Formats: sequence, structure tokens, C-alpha cells
Amino acid sequence: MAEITLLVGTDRGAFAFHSTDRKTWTKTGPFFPGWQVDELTHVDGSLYAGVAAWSFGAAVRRSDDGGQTWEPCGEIRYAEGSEAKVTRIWRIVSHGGRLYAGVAEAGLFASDDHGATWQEVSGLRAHPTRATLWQPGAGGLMVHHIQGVPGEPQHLYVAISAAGTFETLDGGETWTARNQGVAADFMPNPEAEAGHCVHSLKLAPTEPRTLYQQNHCGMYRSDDGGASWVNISSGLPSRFGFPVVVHPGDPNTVFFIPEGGDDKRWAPDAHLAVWRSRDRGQTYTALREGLPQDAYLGVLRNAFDHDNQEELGLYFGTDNGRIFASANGGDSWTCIAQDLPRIGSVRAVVGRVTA
Amino acid sequence: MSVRVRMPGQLRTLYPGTPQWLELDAATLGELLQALNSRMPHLLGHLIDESGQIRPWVNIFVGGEDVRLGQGLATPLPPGGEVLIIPSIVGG
Repeated sequence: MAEITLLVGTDRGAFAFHSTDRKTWTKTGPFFPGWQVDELTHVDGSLYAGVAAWSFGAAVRRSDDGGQTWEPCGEIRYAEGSEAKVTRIWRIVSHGGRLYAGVAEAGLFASDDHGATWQEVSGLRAHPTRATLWQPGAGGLMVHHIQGVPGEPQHLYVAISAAGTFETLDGGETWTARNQGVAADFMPNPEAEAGHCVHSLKLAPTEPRTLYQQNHCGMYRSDDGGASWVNISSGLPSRFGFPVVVHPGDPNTVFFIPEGGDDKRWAPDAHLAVWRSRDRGQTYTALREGLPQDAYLGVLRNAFDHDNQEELGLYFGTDNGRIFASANGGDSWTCIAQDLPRIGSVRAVVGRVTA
Repeated sequence: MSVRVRMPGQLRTLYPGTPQWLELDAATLGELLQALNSRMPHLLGHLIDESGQIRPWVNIFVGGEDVRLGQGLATPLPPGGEVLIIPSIVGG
């Protein structure tokens, strides 16, 4: 069995967990103690961390020795004089030979030199809906998901709260809003082009025209590359939640972790469950074996991941600092860590990538 | 001319090995921050935001005076003077 590393970002630093059998786990860290780590990922052989502090802004750090030492990457910031300020680094993703960073205030940056320098992908913020329809949600206004289409280096989707899903076919020069069919109960115009509160966005890697999103206003699937969306919330205890995971080998299988609603951000009736659909969101099964059933906790948008193994491992972190793991596709769960700070990011990586 | 500058703990976490007090040659606060940036690459971005001004939650004192109330980055540094970089109290 492959060794798995979990990279875990929290409000007060980052940690890594290793296992060779997905039963026993050892912890390393903290990395960046005291810093908010919104992203800790392993890309192209290096670790990248997106760190932020209220006073000192945001930065990217890279490690080529498994986290023993960290190099400052180039600054990610808007042009001098810009009213927009980069305050958080939400996601760092490699696609088509480029490194992309999604940030708050919402924007996208790219690097062609492993993070040494960054340039804004300015086409995104040039979208005509930005001035009138983009608005911050409770977590701010940010690009929090970047999904590259496999085999198409210029083709990406980004998810922005609260602006919605956007697609580019030309590497970011031009973007099309992809929110048709998605509810936005908080806006007067139900047909608005943008302004939607997407919470997370994943494409099915083996069938990339299939996308899933957890939205503030429901769970959705697109069968046509985002051109239209259908609501797949029926059968779930709530339409509200944050993360979504798509099975890496089966575009029909998707996992959500609903919460009771935007007024109480914990599991519905405090009964924590991961809900799995194997038929593209038509029917769901609640997977709750091993999960607490008196649980006043939530799971944030980037805190749920899989390990890409044949017997799929699934992992999520909670806003009260616990990590739950499943080594059998979600059928049963084990708490592998607790008493961490609030967890915002969980990445599962094959291999041992921290020292 | 040499001045002493006190680095906040949170930034020293990002730049391991940085002592709490550094001694550098600079005649103005702007020069000092550039000198710090040479020693700690990209540090400047943590102190100055896109407006070109000191970040709103970063306070810098020269001789006990808040530079924001004086000459900002142009604040002259007296030889042997002390510069404090202190984040605002957040929370609590």
C-alpha cells in the first residue's frame, strides 16, 4: 500500500500526517505556527504553503526538502495603487505547466518559474460582472477553487465566492460566467449572470465535462462543462454545506457533507455524515459509521479530499480541529487527530512528502 | 548610520533565525525597510501594501513616535535610534 501524507492547513499553522497502512498516523509540524495556512499542497515535487496574517498580509512559501526549510516565493499582490489588496492565498494548483494561485480579494495569479515570480491573470478581474455582481460572502471575496481540465492546458474553471463559476479556454485572457441554473436566493434577479455563492467546485477527472458544486443554495451537477447546472440536493438533509469530493475514477460518484443551514453551521441535527451518491446525485446514502452523532461542528470548503487509491481513502478536517479518515470509500470513519486549530485545508498526497 | 530595529515574532517565524533585534545602516525609515528587505527577501510586502503605504495593522515607532503621525516612510532615523515594528492588537 502506498504511503499517504495528509497536508493540513489551520488557522494557526499547518501539520502533516503520514501513514503506511491508513490506520495509524504520525504527525509532523506545526509549520508556520501562528500563521493562517489556507493552503498546503505538494505540486511538481515541492511543497507550497499559502500563509496569511491579519497584520502582515499573505505570502507563498516553497519547500524543496519536505518542509525542513522554506523559501519565500515572489510576492503575490495587485498593482501598486490598486484598491484591491491580496489578503489570503486560498489555492495553489499546477496546470498546463503553470502554477496558479487563487486569492482574496478575488483574483488569479500565475507563475512560470515555480513561484519565484507571479503575474496577475488579469482577464478574470476584467470580467464585466465584477463591478456590479461580485460581492464578499462571510469568508470574504476570493477565488477558492481552481480546476484545470486534464489534457487542455489553457482550459480552467475557477470558483469565486460570491461571484460564481467562471471558465476560460484561453489560459485566462477571457472568461465566461458558468452559473446558468444555479439559484441565488439572495439576489433579486434569479437569472443573473454572476454573483452566485459557489462554496466548492470539482470536475470529474475521467469525464471533465462533468462538474459538481456545493453552493450556498444547493448541490449542483453540470453535464456540459458548466454551460448549465441541475440541482441535485433532493434526498439530502440540507442543501447547505461547503466541500464536495468527486471520485477520481468514477464521475458518477460524489460526496457531500451537508450542514444544517447557513444559520447553524454544523451537521444537520448534529448528526454528522458524509453523503455519497453513486448515480450522479439522484440518490444518496448517509455514511456515518464512526462519525460523532452529537456533533456541533462544520467542515470548511477545502477541508475534504481523497487519496486517489483504488480502495478510496477519504479525509476531512473540521472547524473544531478534528480529522476523520476513511480507508473504504466512506463506509466507515476513524478520528485520526483532534485538538488542532480550526482546519481550513486538507490535501491527501500519495507518498511521504514531508520530512 | 546604524539603528536598531525590533522585529515582531510573527515575521521572525517566517524568517527563521532572525533575531529579535537587528542593527542596520539607514538614514530614513524607507531605507531601513529596504535594508531589511535585502536581508529577508520579500519582507517588504508584509509591511507595505498595494497602496504603497504601511499596512493599516502594522505600527512602526521611531524613538517612541508612531511614524504614521509624522513623516511616514520619510521619517529620519537618528544614529543609534530604535525602531519598533509592532502589529496592532487583533482580538482579545
